[in-house]
Amino acid sequence: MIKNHKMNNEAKMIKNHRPTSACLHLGLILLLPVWMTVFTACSEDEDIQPREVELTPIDDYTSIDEASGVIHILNLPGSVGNTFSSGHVPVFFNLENHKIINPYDDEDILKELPDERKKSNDWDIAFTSIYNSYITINNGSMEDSPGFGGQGLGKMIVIDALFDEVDQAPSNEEFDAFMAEQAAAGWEDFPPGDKGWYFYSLDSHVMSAITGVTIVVRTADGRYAKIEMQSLYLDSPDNPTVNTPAPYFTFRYYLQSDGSRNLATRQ
Amino acid sequence: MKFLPFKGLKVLIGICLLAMALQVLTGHAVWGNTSDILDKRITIRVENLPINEVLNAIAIQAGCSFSYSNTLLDSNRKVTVDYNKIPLKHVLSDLLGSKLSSISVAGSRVLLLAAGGQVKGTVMVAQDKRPIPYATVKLEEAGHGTATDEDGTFEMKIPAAGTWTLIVSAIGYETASKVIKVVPGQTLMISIALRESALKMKEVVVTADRAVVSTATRTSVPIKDLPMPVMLIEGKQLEMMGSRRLNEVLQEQTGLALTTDPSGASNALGLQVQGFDASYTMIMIDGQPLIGRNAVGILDLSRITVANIERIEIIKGTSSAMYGSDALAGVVNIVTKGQHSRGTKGIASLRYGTYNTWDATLDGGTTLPGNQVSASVSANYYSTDGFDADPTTPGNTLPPFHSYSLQGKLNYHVFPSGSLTTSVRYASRNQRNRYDLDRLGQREDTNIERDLIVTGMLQNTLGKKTALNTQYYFTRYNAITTNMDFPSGEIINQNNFVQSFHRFESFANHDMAANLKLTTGIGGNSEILQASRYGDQRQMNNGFAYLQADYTPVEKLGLLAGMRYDVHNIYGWQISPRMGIRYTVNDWLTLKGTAGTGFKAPSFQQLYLSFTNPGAGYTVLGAAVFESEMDRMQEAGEITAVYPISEEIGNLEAEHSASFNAGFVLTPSPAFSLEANVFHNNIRNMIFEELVAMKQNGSQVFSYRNIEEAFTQGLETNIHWKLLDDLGFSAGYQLLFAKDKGVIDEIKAENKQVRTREGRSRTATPSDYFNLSNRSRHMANAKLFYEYKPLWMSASLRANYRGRYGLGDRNFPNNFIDPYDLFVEGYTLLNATVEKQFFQKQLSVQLICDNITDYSNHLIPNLPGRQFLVALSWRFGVLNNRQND
Repeated sequence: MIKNHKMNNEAKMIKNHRPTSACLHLGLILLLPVWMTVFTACSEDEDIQPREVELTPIDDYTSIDEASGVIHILNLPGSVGNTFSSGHVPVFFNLENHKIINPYDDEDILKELPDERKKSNDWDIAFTSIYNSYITINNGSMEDSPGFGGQGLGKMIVIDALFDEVDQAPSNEEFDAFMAEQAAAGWEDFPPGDKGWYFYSLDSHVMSAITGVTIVVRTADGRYAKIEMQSLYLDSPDNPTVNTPAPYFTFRYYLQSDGSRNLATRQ
Repeated sequence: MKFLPFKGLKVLIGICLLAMALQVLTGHAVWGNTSDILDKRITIRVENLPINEVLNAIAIQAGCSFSYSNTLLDSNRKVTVDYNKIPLKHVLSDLLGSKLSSISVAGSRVLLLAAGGQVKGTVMVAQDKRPIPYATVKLEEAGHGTATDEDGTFEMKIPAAGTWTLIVSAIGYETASKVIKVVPGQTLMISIALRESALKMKEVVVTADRAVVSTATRTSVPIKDLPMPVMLIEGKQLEMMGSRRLNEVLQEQTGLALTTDPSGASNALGLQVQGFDASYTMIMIDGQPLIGRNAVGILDLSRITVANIERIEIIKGTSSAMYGSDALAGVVNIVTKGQHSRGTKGIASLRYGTYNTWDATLDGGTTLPGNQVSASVSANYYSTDGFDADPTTPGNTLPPFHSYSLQGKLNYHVFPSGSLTTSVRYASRNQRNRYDLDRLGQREDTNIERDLIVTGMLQNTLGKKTALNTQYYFTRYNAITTNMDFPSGEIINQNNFVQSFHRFESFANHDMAANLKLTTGIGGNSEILQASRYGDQRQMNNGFAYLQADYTPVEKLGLLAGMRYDVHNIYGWQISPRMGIRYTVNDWLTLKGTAGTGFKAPSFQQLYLSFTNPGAGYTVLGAAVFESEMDRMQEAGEITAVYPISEEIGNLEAEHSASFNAGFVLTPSPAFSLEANVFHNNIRNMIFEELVAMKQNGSQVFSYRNIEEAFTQGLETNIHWKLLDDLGFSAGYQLLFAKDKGVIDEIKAENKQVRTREGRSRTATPSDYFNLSNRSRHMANAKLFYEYKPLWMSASLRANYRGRYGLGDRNFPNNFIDPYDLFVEGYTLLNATVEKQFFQKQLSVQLICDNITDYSNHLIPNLPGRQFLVALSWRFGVLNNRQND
């Protein structure tokens, strides 16, 4: 019974977090001197000192590391309340203002984005397919992009490199070579040969992000950004189960607003 | 070779039926001709002839032979008789007079029993006069005996008047002997006191060697004489531990660990033995396998109540040579209580404690006058509110449930040398887990399980050297798993799983010579499954035959050799041999070793599953239905790509293991013993899921294939130390290495990568490979048992350590547990009990505290927090006094 009450409260809190009714809550957060501390380095490697990151909240799901300009997204609800059979509505995200641009219904459930907006430059990345786990970009000339037929200049590449060590966006040739093989990235090696950002265990039936994977994208308007996906589970537990609520996006990214390829975030 | 004709199986079943028929007939023969021979009319006239010669002459006339003891003939006195057409029975009673107590006929053999006496007595502890239950009382000259009741009393017929020697022995006590003088027709009352032996070591075991059948205490094999590693948990220890369910007992034993379904989809608790997954250990009740394993092969131990258990025997290392498939890692046999005593006896107990846990038991047994029929019943009710070890995931990790278990046993001595035992066991459990499912409202998962077991067993002996046992065993397991919306009750998903199992088996023990015992058996199984995920009704049939020889050429050396042949309608045939050797070097050192092979037949799931996960969309197909299901899906246009590996799907072979155990038992002083055993198990043809195709909707199709090779090896050691007279200490430790050989090869070839938690990649080295998931490198336990006899009080304090183990790949899918994966850190659990007895020990009050430190870890879903329980139990009994009337 205790459990149920707790879960109800959590559910309510999440509802209150919707942008429409979040002002009060946001104020509360800003009033409280809450600083979140994230340890980003691994304790196993002793020569690397854990770097403390100070995050300043921006809204319910977003905070910023002001020193580096890296945006942290925590528990941002995707097409929640769905299973494989009911399907997941693709989620369209704008990196500049760190917002989902899909409309919501009266019950705060995310709805399909109208086709004309898909073709707009209002979004940069989309979370598509099963549990919103496949990431793709806004490219007007690529058939497999939801932005096909629009003006989007989006590109993407998945690289095996630490987020903080990606200082430079790859060359156009590297982007193009990657995109010739795949138009989205999700489950590692599925379809076979594809690069992904997570893997799914057939024992635990749980998806886990692969560490040291960075997705570099070109936004709809041609700027560069790097993204590190961390979890699709609510509260990113270290041992989720098949019943852990999903998809809730937890990731961090850095958008270079000056249009250059410089993605350096280390001090 | 792969598909041996089905005919073979039928022949085996036929032979089995024949064996039973023969057994019944031979049993009947004992009564059959009784009247004919005894009614034969005898004409004889002799004068002053020794009585044995007279009997010989009568035997020739009657066409029979007589068996008798010399006491009956009273030193061959001479007799003078004149009978004319007098029936044999009258002749005999006239000749032998009051010395003859009974006549029984077996074929043409007429057994003449001398009138004897009776002895009644009590066996008690010398120090404090406590009664000793289940002590063995043996008549040395006759070689047979009886056992004492729970209150330490016994009674026994003595075949003839005269001087006899009683040998009294009990586990944990020094054996005593007493000479008695028996007067015909009288009952001698005696009491025998036994001294506690310094060390309680002479436990007996029956599972490992079927030469010993539960009822035949006279041929029990001491643990120290068995070549394989065996662990025994006595009923007394179960009581002291205050455990309620089987999982609680087993997790405190050396080298045993509990495992759960890694997906958290089911809450079943499985057992890991010598590093094997739960599906490789056979769990038996009274020597017959339990069924009803979940999708990952776990037989949920929390289904089984500890009430009504006399003892638990755990055999480690492959036991396929005796028990066939599934006994790859070992066997756990739960021996339930039977009726040992005359009169009516019972125990009622009630426990209540944390998490609203109720555990109520009523056990009772009675023997009807004449000692021909005994019956026992046991009923248990258990309920718990469950526990949630991980509040971040919806629902309890241990859901609330209530469970009933009922068991009845009936034993009927049909004829002098045989008995018929029937037992019925029924258990039910209702689990209910209610939780909020994000944005989908409340959900309720229910799991309703029903277990039914029916056994019929016919046992008899043929002469002194052969014992026959024929049994029919039926069990049915039904689980209805429902996932529904709450409170509307709308069913989202429901699975009805019905599994039935029939076994017919006949086996014989034969003493070829004093130092050579043979066991041979034959039988057949039929297993039927009906479940929505498995298509139509599915059936598997299996016939088997086995032979085992236990040879002791000299007292110091014991050899055990066995072999079993299994034939199966789907995967072909198997031969599983096993060899064991025991060498007693001297008083304090015994060496042991066994080697054998084991196998595990593909499960119903691996053969027939056709399941599409409603949450994730992927499909898993059993190997036997793979082709037809793939064809169907391809025709329906559901498949977009088929991978070449799919060519190899179809022929699933049984998984195989080779198992080696070697060790010693060291007993430097009666108060101290040390056992050590090293083990190595090599498993090949392990069955795993493999990605074979891709579906239209972007999800996958998996099927099963024999791919992997793995090994488990390590060391197990146990010590028992009697620190003081009333204070016992024991400790155990297991070191384990369990790894996938394919992974090791790839690491050696520098083909495997690891990634640090930070995300840095490097080539894996052999030291990066920890163990297979869920395997601790180290496990240990220590137990203290204390008894303060003057106040009838006892206490136990037990510590159980489980070392660090990996849960699974987390940051990089390299398919092995590297240092950067998700681990459960080592932990220690402390449990304690205190007990006091009142009113001639009829009433007992026990306080139980499990998990004293309230250790909890969200990564260990099956571990409840601290639990306090109070237990009351009342023993009652009415002795059947008919004999004294």
